[in-house]
Amino acid sequence: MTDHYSEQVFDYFLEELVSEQPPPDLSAQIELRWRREQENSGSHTRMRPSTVNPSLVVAELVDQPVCNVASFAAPSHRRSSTFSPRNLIAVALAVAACGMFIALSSRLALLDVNDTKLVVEAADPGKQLDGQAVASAPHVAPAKASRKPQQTSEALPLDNIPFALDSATVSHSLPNKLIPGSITQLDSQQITLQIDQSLTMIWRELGLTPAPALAATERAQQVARLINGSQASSFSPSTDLNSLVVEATQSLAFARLWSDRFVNVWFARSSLALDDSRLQDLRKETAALIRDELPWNTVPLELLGGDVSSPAAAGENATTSAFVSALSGNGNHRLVARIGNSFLDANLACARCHDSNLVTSDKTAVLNFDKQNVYWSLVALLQGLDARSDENGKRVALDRQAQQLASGKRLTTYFDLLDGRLQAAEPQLPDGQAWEAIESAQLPRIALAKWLSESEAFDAATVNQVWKVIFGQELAPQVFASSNNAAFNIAVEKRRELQLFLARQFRAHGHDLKALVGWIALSQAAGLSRQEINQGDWLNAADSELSRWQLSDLMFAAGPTNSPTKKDSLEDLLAAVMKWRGSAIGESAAATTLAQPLPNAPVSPKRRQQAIQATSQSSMPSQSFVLHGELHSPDELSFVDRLLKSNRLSWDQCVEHVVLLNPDNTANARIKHLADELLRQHSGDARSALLDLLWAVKSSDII
Amino acid sequence: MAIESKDASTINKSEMELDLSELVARHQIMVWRYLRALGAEAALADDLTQDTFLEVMRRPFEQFSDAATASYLRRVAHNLFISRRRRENRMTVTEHAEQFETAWLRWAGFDAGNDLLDGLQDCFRRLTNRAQLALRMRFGNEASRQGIAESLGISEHGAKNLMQRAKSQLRECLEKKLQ
Repeated sequence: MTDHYSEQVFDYFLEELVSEQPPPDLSAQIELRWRREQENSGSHTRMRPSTVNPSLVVAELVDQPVCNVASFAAPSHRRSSTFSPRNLIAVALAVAACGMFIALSSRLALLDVNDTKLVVEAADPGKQLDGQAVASAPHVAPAKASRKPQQTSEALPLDNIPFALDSATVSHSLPNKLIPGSITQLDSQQITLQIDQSLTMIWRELGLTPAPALAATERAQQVARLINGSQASSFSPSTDLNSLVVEATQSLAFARLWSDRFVNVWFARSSLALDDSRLQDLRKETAALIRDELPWNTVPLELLGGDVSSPAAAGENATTSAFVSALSGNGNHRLVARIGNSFLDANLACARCHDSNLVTSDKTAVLNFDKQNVYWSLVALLQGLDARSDENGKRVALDRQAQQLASGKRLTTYFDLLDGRLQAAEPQLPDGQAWEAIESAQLPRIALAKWLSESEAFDAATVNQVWKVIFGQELAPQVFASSNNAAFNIAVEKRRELQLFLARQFRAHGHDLKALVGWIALSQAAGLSRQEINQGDWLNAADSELSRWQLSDLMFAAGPTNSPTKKDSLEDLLAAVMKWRGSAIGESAAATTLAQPLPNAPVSPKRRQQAIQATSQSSMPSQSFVLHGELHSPDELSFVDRLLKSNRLSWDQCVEHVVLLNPDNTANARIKHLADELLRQHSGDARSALLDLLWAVKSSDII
Repeated sequence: MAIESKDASTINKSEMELDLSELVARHQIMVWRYLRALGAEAALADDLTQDTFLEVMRRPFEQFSDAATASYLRRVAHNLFISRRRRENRMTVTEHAEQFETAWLRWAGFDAGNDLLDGLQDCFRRLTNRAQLALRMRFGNEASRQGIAESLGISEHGAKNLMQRAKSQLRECLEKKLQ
């Protein structure tokens, strides 16, 4: 009998999952009935029906086109530049200073208590500085059951998907074939000059003044640090940078460092820990590949085209086995995403569910990888690959492709279109060719590996990865939503052109990774001084100034600020956002200051100054947040606005779209919960919440 | 007043008073799902969830822990459901409250089933597309077995087997997750 009940309970949860009908919020009805009952009976009760928790009240929707946030809806206030952490900190500091002044004044009986109250009110974080009341932020912690979209997942019309037919959203994808015509191989100096010219053109277009160039000695140190992580300082102003680059790239430290960086990218957030012994072996092999100057485009062959046999057959088969065991399984979507991200220079997250129909601005490009059928063709190509844990708990790769083909099983896979129809995808290469078209490829995955190694998309992906290691961000973003800011759009276009140029030269130079790193490290942009923003600058800067700093950072007009290290997780960054968006500033810092305006004992001016400085130092968010969290670039604003315009997207779906901009992320329950918290913190302002989430997603990249 | 799990001996009388909104906020989802799992239609679950809380609030009630409160609410909900069914002269197979409670706790645990749903969602994604489609049609659209079979181009028996296998996989996957 218990089994029967167990089945009954299980069936219910399955039904809730697939029907997407979460429990309703009945709190208002219960409250109402209880009150009526009390009024009718007039009896005293020991229960205390207080005001209903705002989290359970379905309030009016925010007054802007937003995702379906009814379950969290609360009075909304638009994001205001006066309500930023920067201004709150400024207010907190001002109030702290005022508080001390008031304290001293009150001791001298110079100030009326009412005045103090006025000061307190003015600094109330619940009000805007211009005196306009900000909608109070009700406690709208969403019930867990509300995490599912309130609306049912009806078939969505294709024209209502923000990225389906909107050509304004641009994806950067490159063709798999060489552009017709020969590529002139330029020497290193010419290539570096081309990089400088392209970036200079961008800066001129945007009216940016590049940061001052580093002095000769510092420049040499910078080049050595970027290339092989050297912290050496024994350089003289007369150090020849070209010789330094040659020497540094020939070092074993270079091979080890860059091997480590690439392996971390390929295996980030996979099922294998980054310190797994198989990855240590892979690092050594990759380092040898770099050291021996073997063509870098053999990487896809090594990772995907090798033999996946029994775990005992290690040695030369270990690389592919490690890659497959780390990323395959569960439909191989993680494997497809990683191939897209690392080898195709494409974010395929969108294409899993719908055509992005993203338009490449490169007129020579003939392919887009962000079509749903391309995605599922890749899934079909990888059918038969799987991973499991052996008896020792070690994750091992499985490859059943040969058996499946021998038994005549078709590798067709099926996927749902947005209108609900089921569609079949054959195992085809991203350019639509049948996998059998690749000569000497016995298996679909080997055909894909060979195709990738010859693909120009792989060259572009490598350029982006190297650039990202050096500058902290990709040269050309994989997903880009064009905005109303024409100059900004053009700048991104130029960056894409530069990426294509470098990709072609990389190919012309025999996929020489050392050369590619050298060209970029010797560029003018890599030799600029860093943009350091201190507390005072930040607090005093106008929004236009902040925008200029941000643009300089985005367009490489200041030296690289990011050291190539593992960054914080998305969860950590979301916690940081929440800290800077409210609680720490609005409640802790300011509230504490306001609650204790009178010091217990006279404080010396020196100690007071120290206290203010300590407060201000601890109140400074990270530079990344200052530059990109407070203000957002036109493409980011455009991206979020497009999401919000689609009324058919639920809040959860909006969150998923943003989170998957970094395909290494998963929009799991924890992340969604944090996003809900963020929305609550923004009083239901979905735009602000999504923009904050976007900053965290972009900042959570692992280099 | 925040409702916290406390040892009974440490709770004084005033603390035992409950805040209605807190009580509803904490437990209404669990009660509604429990009623749905018992077999109540959505509208009936709406009514009985409200009745459950009102019933509880009319009587002396002491709050010892969340789990104890949740269990008490489920018992009240169960009794209300049985009463309603009896009034309607409808047979029910859920009169074994203890056994149903055991089955409920096995799957839903103490958090109203939220972890279960998260895990189920993850496991569901791992199913083949055909299995997902079949379950969606069965549980989402209440399609007949014949309808599912026709949509998938297989026999009715094949559809039944497909769904059974899929549910079996889901249970297995979930049990691992919930361990």
